[in-house]
Amino acid sequence: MSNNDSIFQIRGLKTQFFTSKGIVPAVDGVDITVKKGEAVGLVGESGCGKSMTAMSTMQLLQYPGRVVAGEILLDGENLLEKTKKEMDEIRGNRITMIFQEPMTSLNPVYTIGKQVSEAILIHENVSKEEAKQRTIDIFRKVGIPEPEKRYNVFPHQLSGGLRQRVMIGMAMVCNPQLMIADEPTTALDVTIEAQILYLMKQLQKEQGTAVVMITHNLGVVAESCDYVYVMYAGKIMEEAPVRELFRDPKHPYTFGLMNSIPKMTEVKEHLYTIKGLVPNLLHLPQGCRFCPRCEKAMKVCTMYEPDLYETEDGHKVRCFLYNKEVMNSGK
Amino acid sequence: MKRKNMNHAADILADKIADGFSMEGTDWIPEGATEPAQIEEKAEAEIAPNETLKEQIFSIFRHNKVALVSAIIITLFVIVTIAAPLFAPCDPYVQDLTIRAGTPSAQHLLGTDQLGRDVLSRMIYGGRVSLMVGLIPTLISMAIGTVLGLVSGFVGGKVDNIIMRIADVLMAFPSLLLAMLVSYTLGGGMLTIFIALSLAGWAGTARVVRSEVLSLREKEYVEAATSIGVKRSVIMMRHILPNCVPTLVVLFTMNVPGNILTESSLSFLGIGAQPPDPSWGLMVFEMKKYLSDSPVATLAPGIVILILVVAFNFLGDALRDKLDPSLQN
Amino acid sequence: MENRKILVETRELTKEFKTVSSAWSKSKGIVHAVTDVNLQIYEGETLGVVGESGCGKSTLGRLILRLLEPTRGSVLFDGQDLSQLKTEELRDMRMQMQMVFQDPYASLNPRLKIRDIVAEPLVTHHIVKSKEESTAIVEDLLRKCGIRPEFMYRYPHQFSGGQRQRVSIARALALNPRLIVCDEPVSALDVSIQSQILNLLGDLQAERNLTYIFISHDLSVVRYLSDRVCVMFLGKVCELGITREIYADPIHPYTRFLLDAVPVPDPERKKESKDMLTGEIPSPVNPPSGCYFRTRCPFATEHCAQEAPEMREVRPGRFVACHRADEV
Repeated sequence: MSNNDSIFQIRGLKTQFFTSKGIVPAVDGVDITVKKGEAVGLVGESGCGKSMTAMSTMQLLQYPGRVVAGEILLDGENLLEKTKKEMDEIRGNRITMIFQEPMTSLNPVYTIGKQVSEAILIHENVSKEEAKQRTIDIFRKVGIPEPEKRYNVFPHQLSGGLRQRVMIGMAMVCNPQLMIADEPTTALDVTIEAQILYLMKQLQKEQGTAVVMITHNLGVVAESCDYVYVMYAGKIMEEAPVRELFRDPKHPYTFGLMNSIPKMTEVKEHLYTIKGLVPNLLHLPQGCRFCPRCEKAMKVCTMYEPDLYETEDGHKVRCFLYNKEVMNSGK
Repeated sequence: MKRKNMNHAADILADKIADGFSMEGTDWIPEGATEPAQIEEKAEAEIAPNETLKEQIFSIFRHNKVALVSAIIITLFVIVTIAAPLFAPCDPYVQDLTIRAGTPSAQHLLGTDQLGRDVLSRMIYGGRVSLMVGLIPTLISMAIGTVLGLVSGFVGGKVDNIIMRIADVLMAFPSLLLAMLVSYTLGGGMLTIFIALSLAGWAGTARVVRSEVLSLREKEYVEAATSIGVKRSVIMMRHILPNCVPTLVVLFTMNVPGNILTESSLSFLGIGAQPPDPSWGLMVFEMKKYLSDSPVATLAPGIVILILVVAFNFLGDALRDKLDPSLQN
Repeated sequence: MENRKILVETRELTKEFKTVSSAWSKSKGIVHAVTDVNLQIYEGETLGVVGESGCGKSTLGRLILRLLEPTRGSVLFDGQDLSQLKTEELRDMRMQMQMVFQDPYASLNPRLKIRDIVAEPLVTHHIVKSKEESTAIVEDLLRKCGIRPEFMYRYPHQFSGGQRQRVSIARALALNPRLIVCDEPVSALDVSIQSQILNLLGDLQAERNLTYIFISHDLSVVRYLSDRVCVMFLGKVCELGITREIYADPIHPYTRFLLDAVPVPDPERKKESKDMLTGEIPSPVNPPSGCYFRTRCPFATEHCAQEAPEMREVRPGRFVACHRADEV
């Protein structure tokens, strides 16, 4: 993979939480590459570290969390070496983030128009009138009806779907290079979800913004992403182009995830289940971290941690089943 | 295979395989390696073990040194005041007019008061007053407040309105003023203080408990109990009251020092403990003229009040954090 | 279908909430949470209730269990009108109908041990004579629901979400009910745990001939578990029928859009531009005149604004509330 067309890269990111019970490795060596204008999905169950990866990128980690290793490169610049002030300049301007619950990320005491134009004024040297005009334009673009009127409306007066539109507008108004969307549609109804996903895709195409979509919903990933990373307990378990991944999930965890969701089209007698629970990050099992729940676990899995192995059809899989040396020696 | 990209473990593995490290064919079961039942067990074994109350309290003090110090201070205070005769170096009532308002000496560690009585001994005995005032009216007022708050929140409607309006009236009255009023009507003395503090204190508890009940009432487990067919009275005692306990504990640790302070104020104003009985507030009052002559003897009771009140507040915070199971993890 | 026994029947079931009026605003609004719902639920079936938030599906579930008092209409359980029952009789009736809640963190009292939580229905209805007896039953129930009985002296916060939901199911099963209302039982759970719980619910139904009312916003989950589906919009039922048929051939425009909007985990089927519903869900305080859906419906006509459509049986077993069901 050449680095020329990649706009955003995470290399060997490790984020740990230093709690009284021990060190929690929330993100444990994650590599992610996002190309210009590409939508990348980061999928996983709760607690797998997908949100923590985003928070590390934005440097919004709460105490006692800390990035202990790795590089986060935006257009070749390492964000981890930036000062607080430089980060403030980058956040909301070159990288923006959308959260699951828009109500908590909008300030309830300011009108939505004021908040969005404020974002423009902070990052760009424009007059107040111009900022207002651009805010109204972006409101129109994200499909807020009667944008001039809504400029003076408070967040709580809007429905969840409209609020998320405001958030997206705020995120897109400065033409960011990267937008991180953390479960942007989880709190919304399906018909609204479809609208928002469509809107995000539209804007992404128009402005060429790269998107990292963090979600637990495989349907959302399938519909909106080009490339997918599957995370489990702080590590990337599998990565592949979206069609490849859904056509042939290779890692037993990915396979399990995909088959445990009920399908709209067919009904099976029993759903496939992944046995057991997500491991406690304080007491990770020895060897592969998915091994205790894995149906295909081998002895080697209980002893060593697998690497990401590249397969012929473009997957990278963290599983010994795809390590030729291991598999050949077994036979 | 690009060996470069492999991590350390995989390197070792590859080496071992190259060395002919025997991984017998029987060990290499690519399918269904572990019985599902076993996996279930493994996963479930991760459930945190039960913490007994003792362990819980122990863990508070292990992680929170401030709470530990506070608890030690409070315990010392309780022990010393209960066993006052053992600790007091002198008789608190014996006067020695030759050393009025004396500075600290070997015989009188904290000096003497305006009548030449040993300040340390009087403080130790005076602690009994503070201890009783801290505990008894607090318990009475909180018991009243809890019952009224529960009824108010759970029954609602007119009953709620009446109870809360009475509480409003009481809250609108400065509690010190109320206590003074009661004292003047019933005459001074400790019993009056008890009555006054019990009457003044319940309103705050009732309001807090009521709002707690109102939010707990909407919880799904209360709805679940209703759907099972549990009686309302049982729901109140079993599902709502126990969940108010953390709040009540915190309230208790806030009310105790509050009452100690009120008693001191009342005694300072001359309505509380009557001379020659020792009480910290009274001692400050009596010695206030001698601040420059014997600062230690004058300030000591005040400082002890301060330390005790702060200790209670810190302990209350620590307890609240631990006692609410939903706040754990 | 006709020969099967009807377990629950709702007749013009309606629930309106009054919005609280403050001292400053005199305008009193009425939220039409559930309006004129007529349902027949057969013994042993699973009726899925789907709809978006605020469509009244949870309210409907609670009305059926009489956890809420209906404004109008009635619920017949096994032929008996629940609203006619006295407090004591209702309490006895509750033995036959139970509920599993959405939030496994909020539906278990944090101060009670798992054993006491599961035993509560048994104790309440005096089914057990002694502590040993109830412990034995609780052990059995927990085992059935996939919780090792050794853990019954633990507190809820020591369990994960999925395990708590199992406990919640065990509690619902304790009285051997005939009806269980499941209010979004898996929506708070992770995907891999979700399928465990769905399988458990399915197994229990097969074993005990349970009747489920399965409330969910997740259409694929409803598809998996339900025999029949009832689609709700703004407090009204807009389509009711056999799950397979509705998913294959939705008639009501809303059902169509709803099914089309679900993100499908299959990039091959990714459509570049979906037929999408425009606009927001109307407020239940001021619903539109006539058909509630008409403001978002591309097929709406004058007629739709004037008259609210009645439920009609357009095909055997398929009910649709739309004036233009035959044309569009």
